[in-house]
Amino acid sequence: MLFEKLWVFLKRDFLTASSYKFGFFLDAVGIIGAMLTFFFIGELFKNSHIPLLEQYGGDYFSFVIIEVAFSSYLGSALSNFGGVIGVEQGMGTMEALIMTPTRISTILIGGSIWNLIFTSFRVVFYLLAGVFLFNMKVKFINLTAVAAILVLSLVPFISLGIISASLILAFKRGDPIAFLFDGASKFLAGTFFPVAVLPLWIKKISAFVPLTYSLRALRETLLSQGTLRDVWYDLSILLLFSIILFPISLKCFKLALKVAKKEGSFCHY
Amino acid sequence: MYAIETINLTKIFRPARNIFSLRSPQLKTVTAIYQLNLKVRKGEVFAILGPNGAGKTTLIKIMCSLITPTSGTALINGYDVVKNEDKIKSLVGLVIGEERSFYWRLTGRENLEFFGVLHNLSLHEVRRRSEAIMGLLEIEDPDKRFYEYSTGNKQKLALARCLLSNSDVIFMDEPTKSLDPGVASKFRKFIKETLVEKENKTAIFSTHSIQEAEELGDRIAIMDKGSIKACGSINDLKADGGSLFDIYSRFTSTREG
Repeated sequence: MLFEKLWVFLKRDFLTASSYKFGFFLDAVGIIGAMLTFFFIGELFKNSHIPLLEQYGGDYFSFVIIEVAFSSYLGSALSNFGGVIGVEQGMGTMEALIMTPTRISTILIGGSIWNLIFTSFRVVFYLLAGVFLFNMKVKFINLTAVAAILVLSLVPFISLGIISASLILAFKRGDPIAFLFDGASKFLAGTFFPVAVLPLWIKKISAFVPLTYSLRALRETLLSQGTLRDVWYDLSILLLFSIILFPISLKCFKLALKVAKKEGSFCHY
Repeated sequence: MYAIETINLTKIFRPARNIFSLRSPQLKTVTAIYQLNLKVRKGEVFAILGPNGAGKTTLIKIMCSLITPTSGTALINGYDVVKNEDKIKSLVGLVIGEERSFYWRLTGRENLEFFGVLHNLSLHEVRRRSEAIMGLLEIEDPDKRFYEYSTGNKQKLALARCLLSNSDVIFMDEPTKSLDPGVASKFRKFIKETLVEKENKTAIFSTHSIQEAEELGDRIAIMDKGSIKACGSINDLKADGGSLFDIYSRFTSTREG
């Protein structure tokens, strides 16, 4: 029954998304537009010797596209659950969903599947467009290492996403988690530049951001042919984040459900 | 055993305190339901009649486990709505008068399929049942997108969704609120003759229409300011003389009807 339920969520979101066909086209145009911007910034530095980029192959465009593609993936994991709650509350369907004998975890996961699949397509589109349209340099990829990084990165991001959903469920708006970890962490984790260029005190703050470790490990594997052994430190930190954040996130969500039921505010937004 | 029983049920809404409310400490609590005692028999059509703000919707949401009561007990077929939430979801169906409870970009049929599967029916079963229910309710154009539906059709779809789950107890929150008199009358006839008399369901509906309560309810509870002011069959209520409107006006703080 669980798979049938997840399937109808996926079908619902696909049907809804495909009813706005122009949106797909605009999204692809948006990606190409962003890539063009990064490509020309890269051209600006093409013949300059930038030591901080040397360890990543010296090519700014390849550096930034990998960061942007994967941080959008993790950002999606972060914002998905909160998005599901926000959309259902906004549309007024939350009570109708809660009235069904379906676990709230199934509603959250089911409502996120389409976004995760769509974001995966976007990442692949970024990489393919980078390689075939912009001559992006991607060396031999250690798939095991990349998979391990993605899995261990997704858990803390999903946990933060559940905390974010809890805040939206309880307070409806003003979700600081999405702001802090989607916006600020892109800066702190060095999405558009290596963290090494940041002042020491900011570097210290970036040590508390999971994205720092995810991106550093991804750069190492995708641009410097790193193996699992080369990224074990970053993976251990991501595991630690997962162990701490996941139980906290579940506790937060239970508390938020209690608040929403007490206030009768499942459909408030 | 009663289909529905409440014992001293109370719900007090306390405004959420946050950093901004510190500047305005005069926050008022709202007593939506106060010490409410109610018994509804199985197979009964029970009307909750009251003006806006009487507490009707809060009562229905508590019975559907959507709101936690502050104190007291609420039971459906003997199951506590707080302690047995999962059981309650399989026992009750809710027809929400709010048309925003559907996905507007999906067709009526797709909406029913989605909610049917979430009610633990297989896709095959949902398709079979929804076809039958849509025919029964005379839902026109099930393959049109929901936003293209007329208000009457939207309301019928809300009832169809509730019937899919085959619940024993059906709650309806102002089910004919936005329907024209002809469609509303058909809707009431369906509830009384098909749902209750043929399928032996228990139906509880809230309304602020005296005519609707009189036409549909086996028994009527007049509710105001969170408590039941009078309860009984139409004959019981009229025993002291006067029309239902007179009785309603006597017990409620507003003269809406």
